[in-house]
Formats: sequence, structure tokens, C-alpha cells
Amino acid sequence: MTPIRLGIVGLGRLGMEHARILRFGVPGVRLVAVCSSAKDEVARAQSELDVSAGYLEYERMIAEAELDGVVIASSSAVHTDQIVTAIEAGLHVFCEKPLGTTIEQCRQAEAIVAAHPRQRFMLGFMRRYDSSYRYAVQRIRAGAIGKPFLVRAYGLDPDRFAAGAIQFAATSGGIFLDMMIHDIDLARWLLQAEVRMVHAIGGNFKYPQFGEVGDVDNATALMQFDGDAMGLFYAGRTAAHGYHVETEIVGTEGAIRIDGVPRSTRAMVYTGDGVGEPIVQSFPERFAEAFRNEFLEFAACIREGRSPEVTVQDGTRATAVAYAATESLRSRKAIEVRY
Amino acid sequence: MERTIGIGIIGIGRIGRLHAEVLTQRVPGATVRAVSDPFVAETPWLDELGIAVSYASHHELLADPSVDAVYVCSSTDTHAQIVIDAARAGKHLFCEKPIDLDPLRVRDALDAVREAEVLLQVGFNRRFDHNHAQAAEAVREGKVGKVELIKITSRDPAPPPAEYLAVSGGLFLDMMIHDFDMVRFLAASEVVAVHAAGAALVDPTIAATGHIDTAVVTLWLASGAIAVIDNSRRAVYGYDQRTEVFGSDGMVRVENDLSNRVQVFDQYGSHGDKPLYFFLERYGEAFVAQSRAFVDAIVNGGSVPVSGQDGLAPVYIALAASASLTQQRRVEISEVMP
Repeated sequence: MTPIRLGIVGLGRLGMEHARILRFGVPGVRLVAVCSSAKDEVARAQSELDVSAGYLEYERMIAEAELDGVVIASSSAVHTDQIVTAIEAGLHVFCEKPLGTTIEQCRQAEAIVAAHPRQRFMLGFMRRYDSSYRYAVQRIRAGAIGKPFLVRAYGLDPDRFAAGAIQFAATSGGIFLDMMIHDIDLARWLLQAEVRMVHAIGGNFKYPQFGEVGDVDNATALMQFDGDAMGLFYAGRTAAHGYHVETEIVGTEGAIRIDGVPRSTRAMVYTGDGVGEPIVQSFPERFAEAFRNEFLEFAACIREGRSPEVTVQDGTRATAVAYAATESLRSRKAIEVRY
Repeated sequence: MERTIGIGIIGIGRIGRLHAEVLTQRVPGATVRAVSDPFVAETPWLDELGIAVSYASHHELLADPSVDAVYVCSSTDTHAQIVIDAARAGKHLFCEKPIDLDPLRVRDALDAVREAEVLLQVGFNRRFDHNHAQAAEAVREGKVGKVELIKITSRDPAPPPAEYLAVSGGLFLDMMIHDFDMVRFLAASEVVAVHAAGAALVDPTIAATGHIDTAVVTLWLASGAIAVIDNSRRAVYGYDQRTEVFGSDGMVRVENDLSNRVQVFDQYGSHGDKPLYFFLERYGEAFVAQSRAFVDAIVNGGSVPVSGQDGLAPVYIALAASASLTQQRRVEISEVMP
């Protein structure tokens, strides 16, 4: 089996996590080049991962590294430009969410992907590749809970990540685009419906720094989907106990719940203080398997010449909803989503 | 990364292949340079993993200078001699459990390892499982106080084929040996005596060979704690791996890892999925962590987390359990020591 040669751009927290998985976790894939504008990040990645080719300029990596595909894990604002460059160079592209930070960027990405149907494009909505969410979808499609009509989704980052998030607050796109977008994608997938209307509220309860760039540290959103299905969303950056991703899908004949207690292990500690269960502390821990699965799927799609389930349009739709939520927060009004 | 450790894999059956895949794809700092197996015929997976060199005999592999360390994954009856040969060739060793069914031969192998000053790690993969490791850490941190009771339930989904049983040494040596190791690991104390009860309830073909497929063993530890292990070769709901450590200040309990984190609520009640099917699924990540620790010990010159002594002690416990079953009495470990 000829290995698929991939390069990665962006070597921050998530990029480095992806690079490790690509280097040591995905059969059939060879990580041959790493790229970041930060010199120390490139050096660290090269030495830790034993990758000989390191680049400070993305365009040079695309031109020189003899790649089959590229994994984009850079900052959100440059995603679209990097997608265009790679696709025009004939490469397959895996891009982290969000697809773009404006709807115009998303449209631009859609157009370039559509114009090159023989090149694979995949978007990093990794939760769709988590075994629990896959099982839930399988049960829902098999009719186990009747007709699903409500999704309740929590996506909370641990408080100790807040300092890092404050650093990137100005360019993150805001809490809806940066965090809630994962749950928006999940809800669309679980309910097989598009969001029609969104009403979002939020505030800065612990870190006023987010307010300085027009963002919030905790937010909720109420959404109405086609067919009147309902969504209750909560995203937060101040969870004391860890990384908490909890989802419930309610249907006419039952309900499905995923991770009401986001345990990191199945060990429970009983002491005089009560019963304790260690909690997942970060996204690489909770979604390690999903990250690996999505890259396995990306490689399989390249090899087999088929398209992944997550499409570029899913990126645009989720971005549009996140934008509507941002607009709703600012205008204090319910917003109708236009695609 | 300073250097890459060259690995040779001796024996490329199911477990050898698993280690080859893990080492090629999941372990930084290591590369599989060669394999050896007397039956190395049609094995396309070697090409897929990019392993170009294969030898018919382990002697040829041990003479290969690009091999720094070997994984002993051949049948149990060949382990001890290969360990001795490899140690004398100056190779570091990872050996699947058990090193041998005969403690005298294990001791010979450990002597050779000591003389050659090479590293030897024994494949008790469960110590690297996220749950059991967390439980052991809680015990070490004193969360349960002084350990008084340990309870281990370990049940396979389905019995192994008869051919395997003919050479495996039976339930205590091929299956419960992992649980004997877990008792030592969780209690951080040696086992001093055992009392075993066993029966053949699952499979008449197992009964016909004189083997048991169901067992309960009580263990007394040097620390004063008592432990109990139950095994079955067949659990219809999947691989059942539960552990409890109870002490003066509390308890730590490990439940099964399930296939997913989903709970379905309907008119019949609330349902979770079954435990992960078997050891490849349940301990997949433990196999990765185990090999990462071994390679790390070689690269950084540290000590291995599971020593040759850790490989020997459970063999004694298994032999004492067998004696107890036959003689229907409590057997001291010292009775079976040569």
C-alpha cells in the first residue's frame, strides 16, 4: 500500500495534536512536512515527530514538499485562502472547522471544491466520527426513539483553557463560531434538518476580556429547525470540572443521552468525601478516537476515490447558523437563518 | 528525536502482528526492521507495514545488527530459550507472558538477562489500561487508605480453540495469570498463599480434556490483605473486566469500558451498550502505551515498568492455584518454589 503523503499547516494546540496522530496513529498515511509561521513551533514539531521537511511559508510547502494532500489547522481566518491554494495545486484537503470566518469565504471554498471534483475535501467535524455519536445516529435512523424532535447540547471547555482562549479571542470568530459550531453540526446531523431560526443570549460572567472584543464567556441559544424540531445549546469557557460535551436527543418514543457525566475512565473512587469519578480534561482526550477515525476516513476517501460524509456545504451551513447566533446575541433579537 | 530503535519481532501470529502494527504506526522512536517465523509464508500485511526483512529462524534475526530489541511473540514453550539467545546477542527484550510455564526455566532466562545487562519487559498489558492505571494511582495516593480487599472479575466472551488449550497450560496460566499480576500491581504486595475452586461448566470439549473453564481463587497477600478473582471462559455479554480495591479509607472500583457512551431510554427502560468485545478492543490503547513505555525505557535508559520478576511471580501463583485445585486445600506459594 503506497502511503498517502500529507503535510500539515498550523502547529498550535490542535495542529500539534493532529500532527502527532498523523505521525503515529494513522496507518497508510505518512506525515512528510510541517508548516507554521512560528519558527519554534516548526522546530519542535520536526524534532518531536522526526519529520525532515519544515516550512515557515505555506505556499512553499505546497509547491515543494511533494504532497498528496494537506491538513489545515491554522487560524480560522486563513482557512479559505489555504484551501484555495492547495486545491489549485492539485492536492486533497482536510480543513479544520470553521470552513471560513465569513459566509463569503465559505462560498469561495464551496466553489473551488466544486470545480475540482476529483480532489477530496473533508471538514474537521470530528464528533461525527466518535463511536458514541455514530451509535446514536444508527439507533435514531433505526427508529429506536421514534421521531427525534429535540437536541440538548452542552459544549464546555475547562476553565484552565480560558487564558489561551483570551489570547486568540480577537480572531476566533466568537463563541458560536469557535465552540458551538460543533454542536450545531451535530444537531443538523442528528435531526437531519436545517436550522430556521435562532435566538442567542450570553454574557461575561468570569472573564471580561472576552467582552473587550465583543465576545462572551458563556452563551446559550435556542434554535428552531425545519419541521419545528428544537435545539437547546449551551457553550461555555469556564467549566470547573473539565471538558464537558453532553448531548441528549429526545424523540416521540424515547431518548438518547451521551455523557451526562463525561468520565475519563471507568474508575470510581469512594472515600469519606463521597464518590468521585475522574472527568475528561481536554478535547484530545475525549475525542482521540474520533480524530484518528476522521483521518482514517480522509485517507480511505483519497484511496477509494469517494467523498466523505462531511461536505463543504456542511461547513457553510454550520457557519451560517453560528453567524446568525452571533447576530442574535448582538441585536438581542431572534434571527432567521439565510443560507 | 535522537535515534530510532530497530525492532525485530519473533513469531508473527496474532499477537506478533498486533505488536508489529502498533510499533510501526503508533510508537514514536521505533521502527520494525525484521521479523522471524518458521512459517513465514503468505503474509501480505508485512508489505503493508513496510517490513521488508523476514527470517525463518530467530537466530538469523538475532544476528541482524540493525535490530536493537526483540519482541518474543512465539508460542509459550519457545519463549525462555529465545530470551536466553537474545540476551546473549545483546538485544533488549519484550516478552509476551508467560516467559515459561516452568519457573526454573523462567529463572534461567532471567539470569541470562541479568548477565547480559539488557532490558526485559513482560507483556502484562493491563497495567497500561487507563482504568486500571487510574485505580492503581488512586491506591498509591492513599485514597482508599490501607488495602484490605481486592476483587477482580475477569471473563472472556468465548472459549479458545482446543488446540490452544493443549499448549496454553490451562486457565490459571493462560488467563488468570493477568489477574494474578493485577492483584500484585494494585496491592503493591506479594501473594503468599492461594485456595482455588474450579469447574468445567461452559464447554464439554474443555471438560473432556480435563481442563476447567470456570474458577474462583482466594489469595492471601504479604501485606495482610485478601483478594478474590473469578474467571469464566464465556460471558454472553462480552469481555467482562471489573476491579475493586477496598481499604480503611474507601474504595476504588473499575467498571467495564463500553463500546460507546450512549444510553437509550425507551418504554422498556434504560439501555447502555455491551462491554467492548475482547482484549484487542478493550486493551487496544494499553498495547500502545505498553510499547511506548518499553521504547522509552530503551531510548532514555530508564527501567522497564514490568520487570522479569513481575513475569515470574504470577507463574508461581498459577502453579500454586493448580496444586490447590488438585489437592483441595490452601497452598503456600513457597511450596511450589524450586
